[in-house]
Amino acid sequence: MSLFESLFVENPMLIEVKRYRRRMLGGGKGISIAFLTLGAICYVGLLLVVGSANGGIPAITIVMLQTLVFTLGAPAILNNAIAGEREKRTWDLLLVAPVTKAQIMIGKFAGAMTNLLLGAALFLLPVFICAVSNRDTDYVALLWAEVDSIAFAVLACAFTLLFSARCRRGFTALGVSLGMLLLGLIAYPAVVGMFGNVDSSAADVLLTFHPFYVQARLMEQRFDHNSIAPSAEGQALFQIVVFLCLAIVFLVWTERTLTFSDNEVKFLPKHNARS
Amino acid sequence: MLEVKGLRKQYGPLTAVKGIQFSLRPGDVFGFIGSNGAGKTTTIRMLATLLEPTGGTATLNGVDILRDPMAIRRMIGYMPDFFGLYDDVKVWEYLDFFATIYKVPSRQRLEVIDNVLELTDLTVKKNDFVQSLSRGMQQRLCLARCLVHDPVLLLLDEPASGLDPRARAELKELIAELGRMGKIVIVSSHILTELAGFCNTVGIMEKGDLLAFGPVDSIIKGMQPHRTLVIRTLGSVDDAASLIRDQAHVLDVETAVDSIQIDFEGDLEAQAELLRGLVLAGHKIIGFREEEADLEDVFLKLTTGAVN
Repeated sequence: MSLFESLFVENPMLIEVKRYRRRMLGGGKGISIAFLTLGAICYVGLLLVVGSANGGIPAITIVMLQTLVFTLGAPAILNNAIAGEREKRTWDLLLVAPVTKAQIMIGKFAGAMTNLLLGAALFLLPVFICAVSNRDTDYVALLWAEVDSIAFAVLACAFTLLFSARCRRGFTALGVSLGMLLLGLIAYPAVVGMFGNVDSSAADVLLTFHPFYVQARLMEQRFDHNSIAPSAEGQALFQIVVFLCLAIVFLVWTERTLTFSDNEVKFLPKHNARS
Repeated sequence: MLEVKGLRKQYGPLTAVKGIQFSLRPGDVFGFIGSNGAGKTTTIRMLATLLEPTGGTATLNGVDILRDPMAIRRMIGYMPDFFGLYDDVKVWEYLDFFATIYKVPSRQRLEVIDNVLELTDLTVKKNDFVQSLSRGMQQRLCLARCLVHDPVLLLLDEPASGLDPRARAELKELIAELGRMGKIVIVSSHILTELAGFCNTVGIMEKGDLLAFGPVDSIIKGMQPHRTLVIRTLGSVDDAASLIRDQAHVLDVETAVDSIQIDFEGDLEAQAELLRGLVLAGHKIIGFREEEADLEDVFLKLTTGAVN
């Protein structure tokens, strides 16, 4: 069986997709149902706002809102993915099952990503309403922004999964991953701004890794021929590639760190670790 | 068949398990006895492929735990000394999750779940949330989880700890049934009364050494080469004792207020002869029995109470 088949086709841990979806839809717990109800109210509110704006809201604004939801949602969904297993002491049960660490990790990751993609699908309706009601909508830029947002979600999930694997408690993983994501998104442009006279073309370069900045550029379609910065689309493409590469690095790192715990120590000799 | 060959685990300067070896056949229910820290859990975790042995190995039906841990995992059911339950799922969902992980074909999955629930007497709780089950039921659910893939070897680490007497009795009966089904069952415990009833083989461990291994009867016999006889009489204990001292096969005699304890090396014929001699001498014998040692006696005799 190839690595691809073992991870994405024949991986029994993909049942996590079902578990995460069930959890997302309430899972019988009062607090989940309360969050779900709150989300539904916010969603209806969003639809009413974009519906009554008559094209006044650019569609990419909704994509930016979606990116914010992903920033908060990924840590909320994945913080317990591995740390929670340790807390409930179910981790050993997974380790003695005939699944590899990589399969466990991909199962958890796929479960969370499915939920976030479900969220992205829900956001398509308000995006569509804004796009058709606004004559100036640039559909190519909108597509770039959407893909960029999803690539950021992939990165955020991989990032949170890493902290979930390295922390003993889910709450710690939530705090660390959410804190670092928000720090990056808020402090990074603030630090760039502190350097004083950063002109827009220099900012375009300095903020290459900031998803909101690139999405804002896509929305404005600002392109200065004298600028040293690439086009907004080029920058989005670069950002997507970087986000996906970083996500792969984080996932590999997670897989390598999965033995971190007092309980499991190292459980396989190196020559069998790939089996 | 499980064969453990020189299994050893070292943590820095500490040797948790010192090259133990034993073998078990299908249907064997093996009681792993030892104080806390004796090395039972470490041994079980090595057999479960959770810990890498420092030396030695073990094979299950010819498959080596070091060479092919994935194949071993398909053949074992491991129940740790804690529950390890997802509390946000229903009983059947919990089992379905593990049945999927163990690649039980989807067509058979429901039937398998029904079967293990019936075996563990949890059918009525199938649609209940795991968190709503009592401790005993949760323990049985853990055992049901171990059984979904029909393992050859069951590793049960302190399965009855924290259970009430009824739940404990039910669990003992269930484990005995699994042995009758032809599975190899390893049960660790430091509560000897837990194991005495249903284990046909025991191993006594201390400080990482397997001090004794074998069928319960032969271990007891091995520890007690002579018989201990207890005689109660209505007459003078001292007169009876002096008569007994002169008899053949008597090694030692101790007296109490109304009974005499004899260290005796004779067989059953010799015992009958001893009793006849006492009666013919006019002693009013009201009790004559052989005192049998149990697991607890053997354990206390063999071990010193030292831990790693």
